[in-house]
Amino acid sequence: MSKVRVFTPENRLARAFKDPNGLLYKQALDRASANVAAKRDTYLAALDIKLEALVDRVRQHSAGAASDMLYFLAQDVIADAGVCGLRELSLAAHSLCDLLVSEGRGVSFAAALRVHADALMALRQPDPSGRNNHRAAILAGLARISQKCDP
Amino acid sequence: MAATLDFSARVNLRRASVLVLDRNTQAADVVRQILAGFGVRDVHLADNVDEARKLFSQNTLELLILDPMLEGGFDFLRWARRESSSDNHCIAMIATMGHQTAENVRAARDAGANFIVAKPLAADVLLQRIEWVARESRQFVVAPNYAGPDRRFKNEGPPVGTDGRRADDLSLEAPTASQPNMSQFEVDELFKPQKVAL
Repeated sequence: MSKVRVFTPENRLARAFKDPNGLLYKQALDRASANVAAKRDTYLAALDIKLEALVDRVRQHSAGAASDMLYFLAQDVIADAGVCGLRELSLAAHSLCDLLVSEGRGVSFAAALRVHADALMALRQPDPSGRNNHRAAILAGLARISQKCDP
Repeated sequence: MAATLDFSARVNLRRASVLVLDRNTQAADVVRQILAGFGVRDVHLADNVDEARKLFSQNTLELLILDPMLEGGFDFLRWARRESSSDNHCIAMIATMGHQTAENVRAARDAGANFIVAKPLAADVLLQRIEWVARESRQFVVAPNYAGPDRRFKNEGPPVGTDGRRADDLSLEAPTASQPNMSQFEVDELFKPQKVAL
């Protein structure tokens, strides 16, 4: 019979939450947000480089080719765009990841991938009209495509 | 689990040492900036598994935050829980993921992560998860196929059609009634809050 050991380990983090001299949560969160905001331009520049690489790869992608790097880049865009406040771009990259997972099951969706690439580029640009309904429509369309492609 | 924070609570992570493993260096830097906001001074960054293994072995850590979606990421998590020679086996380990499919989430849980946090990371969510792992009292399990926090969050009874392995196991399938219905008083008694030792 296999041996299973169950025990209660020391929780080293616990001390940090019992210290009366610590930062108030609000202070901690404000400081964290300020730190991230201070680096937004750097994050945006890195995001644009990855986005360009992602779109280039999607456009060159052929059926049956490995899509690992595409998947990594799309995940990076989810994270980086979201942190920079580009929520729709992050969601579009999420939809692309869904599609790539479907493709990993052996079906090729080259056209759907290209639509996602175009959508990512469009969503990266600010909407001059200031209305969000165009962006929402793009996301709804991408979601429909990903659903359709889910075997 | 509600996503609410008690803003009057306090946290002091000045003495905490944290390892952040992420292939995406921007994402790792975001974690570092957030942790710096929380007061953490000692943050080790790694963008590959080899570097992470070294840092994990050479430092006494309180927390590991990693995105396991890199080459060898899940293996690193399993290694950190089981095979590393450091005394960091039982520390809090939070997995972050951009694309959290059910398969990826299960893999992270089964590799030994305490919690999984979706990217893009939000400071309040990360603080809440760190608070959860700091306050949680889950036991640690070391079994042939798993090492990590106890994964049994809820008791759903033994598999349907089996009697279970314990004397007090109850099946989810209700058997045919063998006694008269309970009175309202008897039903109410069952719902009275009572202290339970878990």
